[in-house]
Amino acid sequence: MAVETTTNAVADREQSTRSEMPTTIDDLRRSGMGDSSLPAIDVKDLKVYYDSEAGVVKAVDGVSFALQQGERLALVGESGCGKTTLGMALMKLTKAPGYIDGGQILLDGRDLVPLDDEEMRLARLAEIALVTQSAMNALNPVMRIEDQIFDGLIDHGIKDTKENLRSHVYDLLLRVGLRENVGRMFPHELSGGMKQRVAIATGTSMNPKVIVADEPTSALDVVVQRQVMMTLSRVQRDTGAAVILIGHDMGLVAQFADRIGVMYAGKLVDIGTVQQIIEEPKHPYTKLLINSVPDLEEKRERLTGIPGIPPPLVDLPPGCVFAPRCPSVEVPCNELEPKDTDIGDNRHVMCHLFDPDVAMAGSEVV
Amino acid sequence: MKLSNLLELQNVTKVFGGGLFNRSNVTVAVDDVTFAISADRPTITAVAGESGSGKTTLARLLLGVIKPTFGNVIYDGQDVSGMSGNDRRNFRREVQPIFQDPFEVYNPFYKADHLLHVAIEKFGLASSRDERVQLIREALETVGLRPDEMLGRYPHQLSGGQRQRMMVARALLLKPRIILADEPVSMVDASLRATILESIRTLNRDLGISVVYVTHDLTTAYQICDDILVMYKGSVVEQGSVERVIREPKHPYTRLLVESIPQMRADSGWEEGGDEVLSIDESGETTGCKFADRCPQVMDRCHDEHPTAFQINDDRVASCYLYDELPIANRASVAS
Repeated sequence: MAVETTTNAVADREQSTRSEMPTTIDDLRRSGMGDSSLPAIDVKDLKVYYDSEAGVVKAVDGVSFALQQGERLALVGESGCGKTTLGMALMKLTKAPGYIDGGQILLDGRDLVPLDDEEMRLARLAEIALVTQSAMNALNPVMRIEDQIFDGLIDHGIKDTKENLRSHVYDLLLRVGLRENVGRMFPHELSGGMKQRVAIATGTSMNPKVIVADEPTSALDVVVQRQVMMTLSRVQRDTGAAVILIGHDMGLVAQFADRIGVMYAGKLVDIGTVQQIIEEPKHPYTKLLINSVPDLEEKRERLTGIPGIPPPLVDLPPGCVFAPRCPSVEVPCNELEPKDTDIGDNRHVMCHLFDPDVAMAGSEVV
Repeated sequence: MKLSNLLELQNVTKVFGGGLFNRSNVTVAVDDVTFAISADRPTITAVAGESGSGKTTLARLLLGVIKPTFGNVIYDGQDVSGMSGNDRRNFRREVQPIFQDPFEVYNPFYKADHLLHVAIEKFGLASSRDERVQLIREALETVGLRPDEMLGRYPHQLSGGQRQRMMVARALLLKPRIILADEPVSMVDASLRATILESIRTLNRDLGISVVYVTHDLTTAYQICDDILVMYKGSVVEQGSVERVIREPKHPYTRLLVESIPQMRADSGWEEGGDEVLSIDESGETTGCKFADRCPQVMDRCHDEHPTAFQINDDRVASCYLYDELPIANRASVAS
């Protein structure tokens, strides 16, 4: 799924991105989405490992995916599957003892992995922004909302008059459905949903190309959750940014995303459109995951979970990581690591059942 | 004719705060709630609501951990707050809680099954060590755990789902008549959620234990429950059979809640619009309907007087003036 680019084009892109850093609010408003022929973000074979006494923890192990401009991808999986680690790595916010062991994060053609701290600091917010789970705690309790948004802008090289900054902040607040006067308020005056909207306004204040939203509504009630997700939806449409939504609520993800990536034990085992994943799950894990979600359609005789627990990431089983829990397991699964297989329609599955090169009795290769 | 009730709340109100010098700063956590769990057949009743709706306070009232400010909690014909000695002991054994956080209830210095041993000892359920171990093994198997994998392990060696199922096993050991589960699955993954809920349902179906399932998640409530109470800011806005309430919600708040549930379907994305119902003022005191400020169908009288419960179907009531032509409900007979 990766778009091939020559090294030269990457270098050019890098050059131009740097020189185009906006310095005024007008620049910001004019800043477009960059080269539309390139994916907004293209992650190749990304590995995030942690050193621990028990050995190397492979929290994210060889994940690849690409996201076009304006596309929304959701990453789902059980807790501990590496989805948040992946999100943090995309921001290069991996904390020691964690580190990026290899791979590329191409943002509009420029690789973020080799950037130093200062270059990466400038890229955050301006090019790739994060909306976290605990936005309520991300706000400084003794600063007015607008001042906190100014902070980010000024820190990223925007030099403009107070009036222009303020009018930009008001536009941002309106875009997330808050009144102008919220800018003059302090965080404690806002409800949880309003704070999460402020976080979205802050995250999109410099028109980033990619927004990483890590469980942005997990602390909110369902009614407010829907409001916040619709806000994110609208802002995303307005700015044309690509969104990576990290979540575990399959319902929420289905309502919001275009594509779903299913992670298991640090690997992206299944990726496809919402429709493909929900209506025709391919990977045995995806099938079980979809099946374990209760709905309002019909009352089920039995609720079924996924048997077993995920393997410890320091001691992964040989072959397929899901083999010990898999209902369709066969001999090759315990010996051979499955590879990312493109089964058409930009659908990728990491399972021997779909690999034409592996002989499986239950093979689903057509 | 009066059906016998196992556990019953009669016009229960719980007020926090206030006191001698501070009469202004009070919170009415539970406001005039009446409902009953029948003794005739085992049921699963959901108490559903958002954070701050008073559902956990209601659960604590049912457990007898806190006393109501007004009204009574009646267990098997006796007022819970007036119980003493043997009756209280009996109540404590027959009404068992399962809490939200399966990480907090264990003491990390003891093996996980310590909790089960203590329960058996306290209530004198076994006469010998062998018998005790036997009881524990049976309980673990009932909730789908393999005793050999569980016994002798420390809490940190178990997964969240195993720990929570062990709590279900602990409740089960005491042969309760009611299990009160307060958000038992909100801290575990979807895959385990189904497994734990299924084991709770097994207790109800196979062992005849009634369950009160306190949750914010209407989807799981719909899946496992018979009846539901929907709470908003301490008041019950709608209650009745889960099929009625979720399928055809009548109270505007229940409707909003049901519409907001993200459904796992590929065909319908959320529609834009209608997202400006954002409530800004949460604290406003009102003598009228508490939902009036946010209600799309608000009428003048909603602000003046709190609506009573109207009987919408024979198995469902809603507290909303939209239905004031219908007869006033006798709430005590609604749930189950």
